[in-house]
Amino acid sequence: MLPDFAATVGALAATVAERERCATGSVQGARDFVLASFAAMPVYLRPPLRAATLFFDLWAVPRRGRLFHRLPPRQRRAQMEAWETGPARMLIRFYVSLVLVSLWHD
Amino acid sequence: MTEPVKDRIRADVAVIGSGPGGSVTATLCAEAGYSTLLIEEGPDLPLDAMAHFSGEEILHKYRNAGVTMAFGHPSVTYVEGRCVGGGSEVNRGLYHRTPPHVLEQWVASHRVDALTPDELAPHFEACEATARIAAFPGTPPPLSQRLGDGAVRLGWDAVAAHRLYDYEAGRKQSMSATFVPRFRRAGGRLIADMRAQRIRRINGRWEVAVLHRSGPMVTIVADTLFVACGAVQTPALLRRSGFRHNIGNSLRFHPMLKAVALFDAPVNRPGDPDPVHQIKMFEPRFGIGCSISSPAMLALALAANPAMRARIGADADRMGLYYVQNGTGHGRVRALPGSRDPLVSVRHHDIELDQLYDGLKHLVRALFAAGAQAVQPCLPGFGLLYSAAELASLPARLSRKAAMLTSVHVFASCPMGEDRRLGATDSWGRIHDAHGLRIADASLMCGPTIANPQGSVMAIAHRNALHAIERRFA
Repeated sequence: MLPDFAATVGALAATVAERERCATGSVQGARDFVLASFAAMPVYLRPPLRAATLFFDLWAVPRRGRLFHRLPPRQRRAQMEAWETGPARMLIRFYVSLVLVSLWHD
Repeated sequence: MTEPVKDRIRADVAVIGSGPGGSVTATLCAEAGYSTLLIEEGPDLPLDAMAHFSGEEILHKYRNAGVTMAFGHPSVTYVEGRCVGGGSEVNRGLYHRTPPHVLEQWVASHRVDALTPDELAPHFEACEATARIAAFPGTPPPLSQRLGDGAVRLGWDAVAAHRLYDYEAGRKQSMSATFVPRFRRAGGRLIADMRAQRIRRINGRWEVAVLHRSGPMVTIVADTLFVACGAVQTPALLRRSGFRHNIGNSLRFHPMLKAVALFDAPVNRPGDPDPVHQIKMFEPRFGIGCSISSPAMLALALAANPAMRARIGADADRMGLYYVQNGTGHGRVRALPGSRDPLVSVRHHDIELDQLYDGLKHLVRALFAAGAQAVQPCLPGFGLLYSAAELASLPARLSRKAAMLTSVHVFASCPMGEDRRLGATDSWGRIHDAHGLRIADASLMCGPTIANPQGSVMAIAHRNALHAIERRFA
């Protein structure tokens, strides 16, 4: 049971998309946009962001017995929204912002 | 078709960076008869290669796909163009001449020679002719007009800003559509996808080590060199190359706070022209204006405000995004060993953040005066407001934790002036004690303009390039 960066990004995109019901963009498009943005961001930001994302994926294991990206949608949303208001809110805000841009652009 | 690149390129003049400063400078040098090479780190894409403000444009034309940040408390998220034409390709092209009081302040604070409004006027005129600066013909779109109406009802002045825009053709203008073609017609050579790594002086000439996207290292040898990579990359390149005196110590921004208004009637129809109204009477404390209000930009601004965001699907045509900005934030640029991206940090004075927050309250008042039914300040923890009276319920001061600052303007990292205690260059962009190495971009500005700085960048580049050419780069 290893955390998976791309799968976590995809799961976050799907969770945001589920909340933004009126947006017409695709989850796959949002995932690809976030991963492309990640690949282009400053070099020194990538390792800490990747580590924080993997930690976010692992966070669910002791609580739910599964990685975040393998949780059912309702539990994924609960974890994401808990983090949105917690100490690591900047991490989730970063992902939510990028996903919103993609979902609404399409 | 991509031009083959040799491993050593010789030119009389080399200009690094093709944004407003670099394009203007390179054009004048080429027209003066010098063999001129203009290199650009980003790709050479047509202005309309992709929809403006789209995700695709962000990925292809913005530096770091728009994920660039000055770290501080609060941090400032800023964006820069990284393509032929630089920031002019991705901005809205709003245009102002440098306000006279700003020039006076720069002359006084940094002892800049020959920078009065009268002395700069011919340079503005020359740039405006090529860049196609125009006023909006007729009545601006409703989203814009509403801000103007709100200002009038409060007894405030509002202006409709000029833009780099061809209103007859219905096409935004930029460097790639104006100065770059003129540069090419004059015989100038432009090579895109070339990143300058380091500069050095060898045998009386400048050598630039450049990495081409296709892999090989290229050496550019030039008698005269202009650095015009923008206010973050210029100091980063110079510091990597050993130039440090007042380089990268005084970066400034125009940080913005935003608010979304919900009106009683459609104001934001697909295909409407970009909004142009601004409230400038409170500058330099703060300035107010309209933003692009596409569903994506609304959603991004409302990322921390789900209640208003939930209305985008049904009510985007009644929603408008507006901003207030000022000059808070004093930044530093530092090259990081082993990293291509510099580290940018910022600190803020309480008084400047207070003024920006006061500006947000003024903006909210103007939007209610304009007939808004509800206004959402785009800040986490801030609720929807239904009247101007509810402003009294907002916190007295903006918490640094809640401040989400964004900026589309960066400048002043290598200011000009004869005062060597403050300036990185002399009054004409020549770096002090660097054998005529020159800067030709927004780095040279001595502080915030509050007004959109692209006009200032072009005019100062024009002034400095002519000064250099008249003296044969002495």
